[in-house]
Amino acid sequence: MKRILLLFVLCLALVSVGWAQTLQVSGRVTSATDNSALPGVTVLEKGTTNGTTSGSNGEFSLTVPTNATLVFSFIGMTTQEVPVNGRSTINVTLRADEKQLSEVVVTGYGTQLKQELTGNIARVTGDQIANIPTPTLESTLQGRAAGVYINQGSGKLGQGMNIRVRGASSVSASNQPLYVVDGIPVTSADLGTTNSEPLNPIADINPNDIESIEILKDASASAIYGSRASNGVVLITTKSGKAGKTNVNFNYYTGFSKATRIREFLNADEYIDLFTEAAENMGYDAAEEFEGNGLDINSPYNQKWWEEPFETGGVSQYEVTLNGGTEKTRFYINGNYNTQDGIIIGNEFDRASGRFNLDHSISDRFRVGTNISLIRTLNQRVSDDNAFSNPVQLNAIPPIQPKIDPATGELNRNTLYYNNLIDQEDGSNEATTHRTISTAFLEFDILKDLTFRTEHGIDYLNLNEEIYLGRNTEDGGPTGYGYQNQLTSTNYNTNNTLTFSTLLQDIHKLEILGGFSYQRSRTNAGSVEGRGFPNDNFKKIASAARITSGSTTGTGYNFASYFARANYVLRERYLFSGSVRIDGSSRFGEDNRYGTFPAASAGWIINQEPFMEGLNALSFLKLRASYGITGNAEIGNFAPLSLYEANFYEDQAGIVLTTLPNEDLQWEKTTQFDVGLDYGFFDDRLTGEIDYYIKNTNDLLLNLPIPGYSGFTIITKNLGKLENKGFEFVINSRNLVGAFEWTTNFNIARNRNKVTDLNGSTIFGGERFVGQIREGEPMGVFWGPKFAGADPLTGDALYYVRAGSNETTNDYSLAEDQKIGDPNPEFQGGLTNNFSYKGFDLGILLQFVEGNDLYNVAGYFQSVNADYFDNQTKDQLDRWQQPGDITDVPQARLYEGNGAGKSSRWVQDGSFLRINYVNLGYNIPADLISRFKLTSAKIYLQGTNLHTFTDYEGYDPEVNTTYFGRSNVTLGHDFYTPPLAKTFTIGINIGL
Amino acid sequence: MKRYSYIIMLALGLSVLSGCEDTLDVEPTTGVDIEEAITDETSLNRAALGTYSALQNSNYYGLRYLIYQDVYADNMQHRGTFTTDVEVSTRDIRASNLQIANTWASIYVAINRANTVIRAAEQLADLDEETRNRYIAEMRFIRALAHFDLLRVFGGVPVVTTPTTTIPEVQSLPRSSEAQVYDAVIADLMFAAENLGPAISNAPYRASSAAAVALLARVSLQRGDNASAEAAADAVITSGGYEILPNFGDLFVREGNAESIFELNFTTFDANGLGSASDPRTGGQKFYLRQAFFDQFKAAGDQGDVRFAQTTRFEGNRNRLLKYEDVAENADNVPVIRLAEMYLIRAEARARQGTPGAQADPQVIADINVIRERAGLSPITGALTNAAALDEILLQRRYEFVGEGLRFMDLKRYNLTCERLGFCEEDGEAFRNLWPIPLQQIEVNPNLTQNPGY
Repeated sequence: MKRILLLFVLCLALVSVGWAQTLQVSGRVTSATDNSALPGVTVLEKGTTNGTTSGSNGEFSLTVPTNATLVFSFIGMTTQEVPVNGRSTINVTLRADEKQLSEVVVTGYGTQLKQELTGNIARVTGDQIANIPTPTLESTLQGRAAGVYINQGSGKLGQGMNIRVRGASSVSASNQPLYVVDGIPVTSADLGTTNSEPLNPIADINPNDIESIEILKDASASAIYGSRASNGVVLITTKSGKAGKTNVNFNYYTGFSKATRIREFLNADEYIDLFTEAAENMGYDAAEEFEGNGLDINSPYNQKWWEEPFETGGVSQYEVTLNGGTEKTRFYINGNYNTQDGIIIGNEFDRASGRFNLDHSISDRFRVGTNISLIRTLNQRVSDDNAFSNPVQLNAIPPIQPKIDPATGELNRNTLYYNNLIDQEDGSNEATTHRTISTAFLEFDILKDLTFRTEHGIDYLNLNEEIYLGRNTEDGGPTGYGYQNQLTSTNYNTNNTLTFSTLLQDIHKLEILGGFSYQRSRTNAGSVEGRGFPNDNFKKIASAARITSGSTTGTGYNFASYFARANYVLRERYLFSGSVRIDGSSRFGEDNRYGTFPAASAGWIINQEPFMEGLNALSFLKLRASYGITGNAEIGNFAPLSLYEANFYEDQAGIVLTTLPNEDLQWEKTTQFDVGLDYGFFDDRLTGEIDYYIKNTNDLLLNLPIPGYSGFTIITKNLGKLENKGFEFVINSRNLVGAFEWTTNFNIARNRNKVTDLNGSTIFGGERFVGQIREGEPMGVFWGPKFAGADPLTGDALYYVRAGSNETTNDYSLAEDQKIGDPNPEFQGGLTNNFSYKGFDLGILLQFVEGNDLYNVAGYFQSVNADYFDNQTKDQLDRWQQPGDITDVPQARLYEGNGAGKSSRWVQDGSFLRINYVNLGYNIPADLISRFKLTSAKIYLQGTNLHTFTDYEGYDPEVNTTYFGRSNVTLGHDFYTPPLAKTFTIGINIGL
Repeated sequence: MKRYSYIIMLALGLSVLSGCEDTLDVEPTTGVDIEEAITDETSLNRAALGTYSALQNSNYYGLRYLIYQDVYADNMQHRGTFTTDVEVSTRDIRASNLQIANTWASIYVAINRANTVIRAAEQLADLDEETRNRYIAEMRFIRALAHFDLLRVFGGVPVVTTPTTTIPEVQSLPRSSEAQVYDAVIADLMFAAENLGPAISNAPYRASSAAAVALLARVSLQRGDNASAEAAADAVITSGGYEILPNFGDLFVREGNAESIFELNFTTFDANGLGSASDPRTGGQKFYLRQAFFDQFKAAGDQGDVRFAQTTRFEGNRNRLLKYEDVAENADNVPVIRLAEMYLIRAEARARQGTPGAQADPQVIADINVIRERAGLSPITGALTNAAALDEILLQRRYEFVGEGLRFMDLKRYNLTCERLGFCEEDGEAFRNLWPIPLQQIEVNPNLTQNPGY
């Protein structure tokens, strides 16, 4: 008994010792990025189940042994272990998880760990592109995603731009990628009717709503989107709510913008000198010729017309976001208003958008959610480059003609070309879009490993285009002109998938996806046009005396698709993936309704192998390869059919055959092989990717020229081949860590495009364009006579007689056409550096494009040694004047076309290096802002397109006129195309 | 419960799967499939209208083909920046000229549409023979006009008499000789003359028997078959269906007037660019009277020729053509053939049948005087040799028809292209009497040969 008692006492003593060794630890968890409180962080005593989560203010409290170690973990943050060491207060700062290889990447119909990927997917996160002052999100991807070439084309706001994922893979069909927002393919093609230049429906999306953008580049990644994946797929995922305290954020920025460059033209004295010389060289009386063109050789005016198209633009954004919820229900709410005044007079873009994303867990096994957005955009448009009402064309008006007519005090109406400033006063061209892109899903775990998901989405877009041109305008005279078009595009989509994922015997990780999707898209439009308005105050067509035309149209397409994919990971190092999609589409001929698009890929994480142990510097190494087939179904909605359409005669509707039928018509096929290496060194301080790919496109949808005496000039056939080959190199480095952080991301990509088979034919661009599509040459190769400067003896324009010969001729018709340029860049990429110290951070993005040529089509008029009375660029002052002069500018000869023919004369290197983006921010310290009950506050200064280094003498080397639509034969053509904007903004983000 | 949810899921999935098979068919809403397009006379008539619409194309009678006949000659010139137009205006056309390619294609569009309607008319069951032949005749008229229009600028071109409505029907035709094209044109016109009725009064917008005979007169004259030309012109004049308007100025104001034999009717719904093409107040490519011709015409105007003031005006430092001046609506009609031409054809054909030095037939003088007197000029009272009469006819044609698409053809017929346009053998420039066959057309069809010199 005594012993028992003794034992009991001993036990008590022991226990009391144990009690003495525990303590209550409390503290606060904050985020390293903005010092804000982190709610919902799991705090666990290491090796036990003893734990808690941090509260809404980031605070926690837990009783642990004094010698315990606490483990802090949170999704998206690096897990941290902190020994207690007897402390009762432990404050922890969690860092964002920058181990890029452990990222989760969105794939088609699912997600995957980046390290287990066998395909090539470029990922850009929402943080990288938030608050960049641009109307449309694609431009923010410039320089950030390897192998994705983005050419904004012009500085017009909300305008469609050229995007090429690993080169152009089609000649006649679209080259733009497929856009998928929250699982739903959205309308991304131009729907506008008023301009031949495209409107950009992607500009309707608020970039700040975006969580991440994944660009599926190789076949393994994209083939799950089958017949629409050849041009790459852009997956846009919008933000979702996070459980925990409700975060309220206010964002505001404002700023101004200017043209990146304004080209200069001759002043009045130079103009009179040059044109006098041009007239006299031809034996004319200069004063008479001036007069014959309505010009006064003694004019006292010196009007800088070339400055008139531009103004200082402005940009402002106002935004509120709310984000929060519980473990069961999470939400994200955003209200955003963005308004931009362009650098081109009359150009304006406004977007008001609201988004409500909600997801809710009904039970452990049922989840539902919805993403709803409502958008209104207003685009005050600029005329097509080719219109006399395009403000940039004002640079053609002689400087000796005044802007204001001194006789009337009004805008001068007697200019050589239309003074389109009148359009600014008396005309408008507006495109208003109301749109919702909304989805809803239901997810159900049928078994532990088997999940069913059904999602339904609608992209409803209403576009209202309205033009009014007053009686004084060129196109609206003499009685006023009104046009209105109402267009509705309804795009319904459903995806239904079953996903099975399991881990067997700890070494077999398997995920199998099977699914079905159906898409139905319809576009209906009605337009009406009227003339004869009582005066310019009446702008609606109701007031038009005459309805001069009216029309309604409708079109549409359906897709029904089946798809499956399996991903298998063996022993965490051998990766296999295979997918197949069967696409059926109304666009394809009866005999080819369904196409099959398979892909397979494999990867090997080499550093997991036992034999790699001990190589400590190498933290990750994966070799991967993929092969697959994708398609391009952007071939037109009714291409296989032979159709009669209406054609008028005597005010009666006649019918005419408009297309030759081709029942065999089908998608273009692209097979792509990709081999890549993902690497990480020094505990992933240095990571990156290297890829090489070969992309072969067959069955090109070609508009094939046929003998014109058939009554048709082209037929559409699946014929022809082209290839894209290239490599991509990505390197991410965390150069400095600690208090002063410095990270660098660099990417460079090379793509070589070659049209290999066109059935012997050549596709011509147009009379003034040098772009062509030719066998054996890259897409849009510049082809024409090669200019050889001015003959030093005579001042005649000289041309090379043939390629490879130095023989020249002054007879233009003897100059053989030859290759005179290539609009495709050899290299392009970006370099991003981010620095942060204390509360400051600085980000700089340099973007470069190297080795492409540009053709200034306007050279025919503005750089042609005074051939006609258009004002000339300054370089024309170097004209040949006397025997012995060595110059590239031939003798000035009025009306004579000396050097005025299409030639390499206006081809220039378009390479550039651009300071694309600079952001300097400061996080106001927590102790300062907590007084105002704020959780975070940041102010920042931003600049975009700050400086461009280039030899191009035109406005801006990032140029691509689209007045012929988005055509491959006009790549790299500049035609009175306005430059991009450089923008400076100041902004503030406040978190409550 | 669990079992039910499986069933619901399965049913949901399946219903979605099965419901979609049929819906892969989407019917076009703005086009009609070929089988449903021409089913009865009404739709046949619609298709015939569609063929006229092809003549209105801006590459054809809607502007460029029409105006080029004066621009490539010595009546008019281009002012502007389009190199395609410059090449025509400076008479230095490159084979790669895309405007010429478009014109070639547009004219053949008219031919193919005509052929398509002809086949449809032949195949339509519910149609009486007379109606069937009337439609065929109407289409053959258009086909003849189009082939002749090709002939006079390109020379012997492929004659196409079967439609292309499917890809296998696309042919690789060689060029026909000029004689073969003439034969085909004349055969079409003979058929049209026999099977078409008279024109609807005051609406000469569709082919009529008289229009076919009138065109036959023009074609025969150009071919050198002067007897046929004279007979055909005479038939039209004596038919009594048409009259010379007393006032020249009314010709281009009163649409479908009594002098008009075949006229293309443009409205606001199918506008052309003719009005603004010579209006110096608007932007774009312009076509004005050449200064030398303007000066000469002005001198004639000063002598009393009313056509000068009705045809042109010096405006904005430019010699504007006034025959088409509906700048507001761009709906000027285009007269393709009118009675005045028949008088001058009859006169010319008869004069050409005589010996040049001999006295011209009084009928020749009378016909010329019809045109002169309407123009406000005094009639020729004395005698003229045939050669002098021909010179007078050419001069009258120049003043009468400037801007109506006849000048280049006239200079060729009079063998004056060397003297007036510089297309001389000795300079190696005579090849320019024909335009080049568009380069792209030769590239896609090796059977097509280029006109020599290009």
